[in-house]
Amino acid sequence: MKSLSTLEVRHKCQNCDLRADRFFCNFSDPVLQSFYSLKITNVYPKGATLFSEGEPSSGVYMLCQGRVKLSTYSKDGKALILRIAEAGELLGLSAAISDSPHEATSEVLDQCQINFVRRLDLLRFLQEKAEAGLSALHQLSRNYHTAYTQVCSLGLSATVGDKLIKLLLGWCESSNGGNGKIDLKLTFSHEEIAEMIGTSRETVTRLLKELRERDLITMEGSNLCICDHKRLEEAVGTRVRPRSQAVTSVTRSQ
Amino acid sequence: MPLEEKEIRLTKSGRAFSGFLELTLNADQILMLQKLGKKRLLRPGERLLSVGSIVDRVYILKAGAAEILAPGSNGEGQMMKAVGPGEILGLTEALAGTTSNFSISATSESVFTEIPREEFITFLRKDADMCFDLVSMMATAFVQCIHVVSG
Repeated sequence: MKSLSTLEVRHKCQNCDLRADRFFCNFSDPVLQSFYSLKITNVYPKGATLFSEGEPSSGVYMLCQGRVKLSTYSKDGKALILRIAEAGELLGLSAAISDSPHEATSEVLDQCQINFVRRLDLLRFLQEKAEAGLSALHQLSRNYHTAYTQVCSLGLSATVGDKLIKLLLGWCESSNGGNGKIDLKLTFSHEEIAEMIGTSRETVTRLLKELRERDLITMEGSNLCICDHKRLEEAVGTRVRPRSQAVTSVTRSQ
Repeated sequence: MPLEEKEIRLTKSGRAFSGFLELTLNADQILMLQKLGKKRLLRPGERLLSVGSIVDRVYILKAGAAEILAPGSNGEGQMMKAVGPGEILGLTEALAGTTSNFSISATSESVFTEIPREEFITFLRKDADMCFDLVSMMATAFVQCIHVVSG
């Protein structure tokens, strides 16, 4: 039988080499030992749903490897991607602690290793281990600020063009660029980008084309290059218009 | 206007939004935490935090009142929420390492306890009960926040 998993699964938390500073499970050895005794390790294929919006919480999902998309749906079924969770995050944390339904649907983007912890086990773990409680506080604070930034970006941007530029600028925050030039690896489809800023795929395709025509970005396959970070920042609030049209309008005014 | 709508509001123009997380401590918790910090007095109109300022302290409003202001479309602060004694301020910013999303000003003679971030974290590392109480409060407030936004 063909194996589904191409991941090298880490079963033992104690000698896991994936753990980094911002990982929820970045505990001292005794606390890590307790966490290890609670978790159930699973590998999920791309496209799998971990939990759905409105479902009661049964526990939390520690994302060890891979990426997970968190989306919410409007009443008419339109998807809005809230964020892309990266390795190290604990998914479903606020719903599990507050015993409320999940506020988002989570879908696996790349094959994932997940350590699942049952809700009651998690609550006991957090009540007994201050270190774990503190890690949960850090995680919740980061989740809150990500959500705040996202809602502000969606709500306070005047145009879809601005939302797209702000999204691109947000992706730059984790990249190092020299001379204002930043290279990004685009791992999302135009459809997914559209769901991040609440618009249609066609609009995203058109706006990216317009940004290219204004020499603000270049794209080659999945490689997106921001030509000048500062110029892109300054483009927020200005009308996205192809360079050819801009030149025409200058010519006319002369 | 219902309280929830007032707390987090996306108007038709999409300009007014507040995602302030209300975290209110009880008397025992205030008593415990005030030992960690020092007292700070603010007169009406004096500012505790400004939008974009680095938050390296956690503040507890012990007495008096304060208002939470978010930047409006005209660049001026819009009053989003009034808070009273027991409110813990700057916690998510201090923990997430972000700058302040809001301006906070006293609206009456107010007494705050200000606790340096590192001391607060050191205390939480040893006190599982306080940690769990804050986690519960924050998770509940966050879920409410999301529900209001998603409608």
